[in-house]
Amino acid sequence: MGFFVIGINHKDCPVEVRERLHFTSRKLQDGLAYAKTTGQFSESLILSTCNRVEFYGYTDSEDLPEDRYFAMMKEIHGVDRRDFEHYLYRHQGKEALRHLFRVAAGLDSLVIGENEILGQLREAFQKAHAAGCLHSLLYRLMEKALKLGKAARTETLINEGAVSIPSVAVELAEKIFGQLTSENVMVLGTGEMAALTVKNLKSAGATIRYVVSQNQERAEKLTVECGGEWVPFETWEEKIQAVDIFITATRCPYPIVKYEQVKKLMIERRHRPLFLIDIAVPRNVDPVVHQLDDVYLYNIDDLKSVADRNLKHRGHEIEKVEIMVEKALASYQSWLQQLEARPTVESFERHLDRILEDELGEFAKKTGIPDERKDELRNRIRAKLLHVPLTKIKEASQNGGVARYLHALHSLFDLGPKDKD
Amino acid sequence: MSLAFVILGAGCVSYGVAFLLHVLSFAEIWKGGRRAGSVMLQTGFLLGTLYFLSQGFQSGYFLPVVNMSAALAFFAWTLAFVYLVLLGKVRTESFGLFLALLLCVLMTGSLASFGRGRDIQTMIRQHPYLLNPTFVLHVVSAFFAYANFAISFVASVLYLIECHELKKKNASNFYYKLPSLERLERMVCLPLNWGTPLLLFATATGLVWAKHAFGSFLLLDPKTIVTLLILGCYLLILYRHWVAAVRGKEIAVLSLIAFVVIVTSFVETFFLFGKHNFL
Repeated sequence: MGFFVIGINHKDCPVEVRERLHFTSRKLQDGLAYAKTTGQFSESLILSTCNRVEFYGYTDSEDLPEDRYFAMMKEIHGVDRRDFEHYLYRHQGKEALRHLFRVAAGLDSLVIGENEILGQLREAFQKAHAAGCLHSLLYRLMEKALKLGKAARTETLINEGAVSIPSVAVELAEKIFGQLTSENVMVLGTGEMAALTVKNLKSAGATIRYVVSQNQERAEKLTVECGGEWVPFETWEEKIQAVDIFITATRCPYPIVKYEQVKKLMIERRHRPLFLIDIAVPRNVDPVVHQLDDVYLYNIDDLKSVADRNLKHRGHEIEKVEIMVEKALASYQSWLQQLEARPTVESFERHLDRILEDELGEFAKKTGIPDERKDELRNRIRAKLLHVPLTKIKEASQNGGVARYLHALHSLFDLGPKDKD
Repeated sequence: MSLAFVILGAGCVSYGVAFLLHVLSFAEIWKGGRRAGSVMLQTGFLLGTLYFLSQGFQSGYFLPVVNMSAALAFFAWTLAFVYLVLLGKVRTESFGLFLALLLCVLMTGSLASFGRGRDIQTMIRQHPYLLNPTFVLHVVSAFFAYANFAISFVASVLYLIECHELKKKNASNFYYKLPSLERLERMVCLPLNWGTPLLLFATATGLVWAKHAFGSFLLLDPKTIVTLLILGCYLLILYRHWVAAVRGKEIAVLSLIAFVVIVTSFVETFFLFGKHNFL
């Protein structure tokens, strides 16, 4: 049967089911150990992320070894097949290969072109290899998939542009300030989105200076994680002069940051650019502030529209990546076919060698030509005879139809039963 | 066809290819276009260097303003020098695109006017005072100053485009190719910091040389008046930047206005009869 993949992903399977089937590090080891001991998977790999749980394998059995798969899931997760069977997708042969390549290229991800999946796939590969679950076929396939994933991201724009609110905020900050190194951040409010944006800015290199909140406990929780100091809500204005990136995310029903205030601030700042991120609804910053020179104000809708536009931009690259996927698929299949052709070719070579040895040996005895001359003659005849068939087989492995040639070789030269690789 | 013309032509082709490669990269047709374009820019610069060295060795003098062709080629060379050597660390794709186009235009102008006008030997015979080292210093420093201002001008234009894109929040694809505002601001300000002292030096050496050559500082020469005005503009910008600590859009706008004054002065002095109208 060959390659197969059985799995669930974010497209059809709800998160409640996905989290039940998620492989923790420990479970992953158990799962791979289980797959190794069962005779039906000659090679196996488990990819488990927050968006997908997939089992890749290679089997010599005629049918998809589903029962073994469900038994493994029951053993590892204690989940009955009836609980998730209807969410499963199953791909075999070429479709399984294509699926893996699309996953590696980020085409099957929730956010098209995201980079994280490539790291997760690499980790799954390393763990399966360490567990001894990979041999030549799946090993080569994973190498190819990882190479494709990297090429898709470097040769196309599939991963360009931020597509989430916090990452858009970081992207815009970097457009204004360049690579973030010492830019000071102040955040007003400690809601989930504000905290996420602060964390993103921090990991991009910005310095979190002030966390303004009426709730000291929540603010300090954020400062422990991201740095900075808690500032009571009443005194935030005193601190703003030192700030380059200002995030507002409070539940205040009216604008807290006003035009005159920012105008005065910009004079004091000598027009050093100021980036205001207003993710509050209703808005916390007077929209007129955006008219001031060197002030860049983005509210939640602005950030969303940037994210949408980036996503759309990525969408334009899908076609290019699909072509790369098909090329990788053809290349891998060609390699597989060459591998499959190898035993027949070797039989044919042995057959030819036997004939040459017999006939040239006799000829040498009769004519008395030295062994070196005989070997030279044999090699020349061998090379000439093999050149065309081997070239044709190689071409056919790239374009399809290799089985026809192999069958012809077997029939015409009576090479005996086909060897298994 | 002379060797000098071939070298100059090769330099022009290099800049043209650099421009096309940058366009390919910009249009997302070939990602490697940026790197290849940068290499072609450097090749053009090296060919320009070779051209001036060969001219210097051939004639025994170094005087890049002998005719229009040489002046344009030298200006292209100084632009490339400022961008590739002085601003090496802040180079960007979008800037390379504009600069390659500008260099290509200048070199085409140089090629088109090649062989026209006086040669250096005739020039020296007619005006022996041009060989004075003070004059050479005056010319070279003035060219470098204007090259710096031109780079600052291009960066200012890009800065204002990016400002506009960030403000309108509905950015075009062009926006994504622009470097950050901070980097552009550096590309606006750094050349100003180098260009203004160079222009000051060029003005001083020019006055000294004029006194030596003509017995007068030529203070009423239209070019001298306009140069002093330009110098005033750039000193004002530096004052705003360093003393008043002004940054951002204002500096970009001021640099842009000052460069417009330079271009106006060139056009003006080209038509007015002063000592500088010898091209």
